[in-house]
Amino acid sequence: MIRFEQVTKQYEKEAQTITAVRDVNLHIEQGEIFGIIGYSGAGKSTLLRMINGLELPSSGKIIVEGADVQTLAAKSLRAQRQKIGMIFQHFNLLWSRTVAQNIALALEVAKTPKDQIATRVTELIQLVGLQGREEAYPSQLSGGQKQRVGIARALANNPHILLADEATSALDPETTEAILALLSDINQKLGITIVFITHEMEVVKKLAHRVAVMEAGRVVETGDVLTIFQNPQQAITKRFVGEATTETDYELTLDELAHKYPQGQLWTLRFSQGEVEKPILASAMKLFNVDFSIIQGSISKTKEGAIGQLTVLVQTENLHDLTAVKTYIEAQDVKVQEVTQ
Amino acid sequence: MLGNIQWDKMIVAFGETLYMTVLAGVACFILGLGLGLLLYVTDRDGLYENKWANAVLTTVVNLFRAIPFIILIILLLPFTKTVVGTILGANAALPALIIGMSPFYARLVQVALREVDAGVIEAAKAMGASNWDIIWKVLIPESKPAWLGGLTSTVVSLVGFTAMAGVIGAGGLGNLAYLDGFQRGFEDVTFMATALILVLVFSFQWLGETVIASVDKRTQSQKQPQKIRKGLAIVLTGALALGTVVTFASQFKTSELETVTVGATAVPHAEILTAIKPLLAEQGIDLKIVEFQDYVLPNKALAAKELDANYFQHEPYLAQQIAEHGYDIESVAKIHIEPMGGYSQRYDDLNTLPQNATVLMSNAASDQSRILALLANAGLITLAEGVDATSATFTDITSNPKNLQFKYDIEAKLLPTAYQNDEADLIFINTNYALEAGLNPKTDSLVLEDGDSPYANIVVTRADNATEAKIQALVDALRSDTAKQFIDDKYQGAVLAVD
Ligand SMILES: Nc1ncnc2c1ncn2[C@@H]1O[C@H](COP(=O)(O)OP(=O)(O)OP(=O)(O)O)[C@@H](O)[C@H]1O
Ligand SMILES: [Mg+2]
Repeated sequence: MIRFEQVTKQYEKEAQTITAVRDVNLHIEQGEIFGIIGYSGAGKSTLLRMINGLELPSSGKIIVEGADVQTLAAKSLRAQRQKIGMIFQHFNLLWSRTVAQNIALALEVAKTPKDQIATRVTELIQLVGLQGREEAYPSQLSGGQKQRVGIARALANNPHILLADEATSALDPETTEAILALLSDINQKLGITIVFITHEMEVVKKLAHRVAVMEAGRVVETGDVLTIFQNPQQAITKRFVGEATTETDYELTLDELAHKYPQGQLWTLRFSQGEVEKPILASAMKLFNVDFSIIQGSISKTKEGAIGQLTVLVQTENLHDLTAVKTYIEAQDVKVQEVTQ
Repeated sequence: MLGNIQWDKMIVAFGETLYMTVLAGVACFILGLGLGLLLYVTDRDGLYENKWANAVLTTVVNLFRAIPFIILIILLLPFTKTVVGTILGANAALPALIIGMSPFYARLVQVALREVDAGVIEAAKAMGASNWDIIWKVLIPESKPAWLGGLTSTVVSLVGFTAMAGVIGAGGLGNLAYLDGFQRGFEDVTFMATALILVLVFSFQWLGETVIASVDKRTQSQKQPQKIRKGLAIVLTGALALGTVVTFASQFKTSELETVTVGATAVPHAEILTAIKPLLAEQGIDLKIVEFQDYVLPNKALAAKELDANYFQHEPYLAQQIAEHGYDIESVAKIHIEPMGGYSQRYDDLNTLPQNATVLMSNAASDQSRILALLANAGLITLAEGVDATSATFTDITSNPKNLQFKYDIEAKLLPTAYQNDEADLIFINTNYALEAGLNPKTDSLVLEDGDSPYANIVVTRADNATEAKIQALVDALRSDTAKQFIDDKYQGAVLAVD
């Protein structure tokens, strides 16, 4: 659907070259929700904007639905863009137009006959749940409502792809939930491929099927969301995953515990889908002569299922048992990691 | 208190100012919007970025903004003549008003467009909008309050500029305030014209604000103008439009009567002409008076056949203008003189002046020639052969029996003060200043210029129409007893009819 081949983008600025995107190879499948995460300045927006030709690569190729974006003539590029919706962090609605007129703009641009515009606008208003607000101006809407207008506008011409650049960054957590749910819904109902940018792992977790992690212009890690969460490879990815599971909150406690029970060991257990529900710790306590004290635990829901993480203090008379317990637990597909003391 | 106001004149002037402002405003709006858009789209990162085009446009805009309006009017005269067909009247003011103000508005439009949210433009691009769509569906609507505000400022400035257009006989309130109010000293006229200008300015300002408030949806608390305000705005717009249309129509109204169009300066020429209007009307001739603020255009307009005659100058000036411009125009009659006179607190008669008497006069060379000729005529001095009142200088004096001591280093307008302080034996004072000092030229002067003076004011026509009957009728009327009576009553000796 969307393929990046060895894409690099550089900006020349006052005799200085900034490489915003460097040697990126990516393949985004039809119908998937693909997240791009990275810190500010990582090159996410630049990467996204190359999909609809708002930026052109300095080298490499971007193939969207079989067409090389860079070689499209102005007119075909515009036609192509009509099939790629885009939503923005700050919504970018026209203040001078009502909700209905804002949505209609996309249709006018695509030369939709007048009589069809009204019908289509009504459909879209229903899709995003803005019935009754058609005649309101953007200044009279809440952030969440504005983004709904943005989404309706982006979907007006039945696009195959929806690009979202930090679409929820300006919204409060509850509104974010609602917008993410709407996007998921749209993906399922209409089968539209969604590519979105975020700097919050929370959003990736809730929305994405697959994710790419960007750092300094490069895509440093790609994979499906579960794998990335369970088994982050790169330091930056671990940091994002850690943030999503609020690791920092209990680092102090771990130190304290290690101090208090020098004979015990601290383990972090990572469960994936399925194992969360199994009584692994209980059976281990029955089988071996060990005690588990649960120090911290969390379960996160991702799109594909739940993943859990548990930090426990293991205490036993016999140190040999520890190895056995570890082997037992790992046999259940749960990752055990000793917390170094 | 308002006794000097001629309301018909005031209303016509109001109409002219409105007409010039509205027409120029509409044209500035269209031109400025186009030019402002071009400036914006060719600018860096613009839709049609073009360094060279942008540099050229910017230069042109800055250039026209830098030219003072009054100079622009003069520079554009040939252009105006070709495009409008006349260099006189309200229509002739339009090119200068439009060319002068469009660049100003273009800049305001450019600034307005720059304020459009870049994100919104990007959203439109991402939608697949063409540049044309971006301009008409995004840029213009999204910058509407700003460019409407700019238009309001432009129109208000135009009202001010129309006053300067009086130079070319464009009429209007500013011109009336200057000619009738200031030059004739009718303060009530100045006051009323100024008040009406303010009414216009506030009307446009208020209309602009009302329209902006009703289109601006940017803030949540959209304070929509109340119904009554909207209603008022519509009525006001209607009234202004009507005034414009009526004046527009009158621009093209042709009189049934035979007309004679005469260019004149305000005082006393236009006043004298106004006084004889009824005389000509009796003969079926409509006298149209075009008032001028300067001394160059009346001859230019006459030569260009825009006037049938003019009445503002004296012979020496006419001769100099013909020499400079090669006009085929000539004097047909002397009408009046604003005589130069000699006054004294010490003596009653020129002949009683003592030896070595002091003679004080203005520092203007032409005044000095006139005075020397006057003294020679009175037999006090002798001038060299061939010099006359247009050319005599102190070195031309061949004999000075009384050994008169000339002092000529004083501003003409200070002469009355010098007279009051009794600073010389004989003091020459221009009549208008003599009147200010409470002197009566006819009875108080020891010596006074008469109609033979080359400084008599003349009616000038072209060679090709000098003999037309209506010109003859004009001259007859100006030399009639009615005219003489008027001059005597009105000017009390400051102006003398030539016999
Ligand atoms: N038009 C441009 N001209 C010059 N440099 C640019 C331009 N656009 C982006 N850059 C630079 O490219 C780099 C990547 O920018 P980009 O906007 O893609 O980052 P981002 O990951 O989207 O960051 P953020 O989370 O802050 O939006 C940054 O260093 C930025 O300064
Ligand atoms: Mg960004």
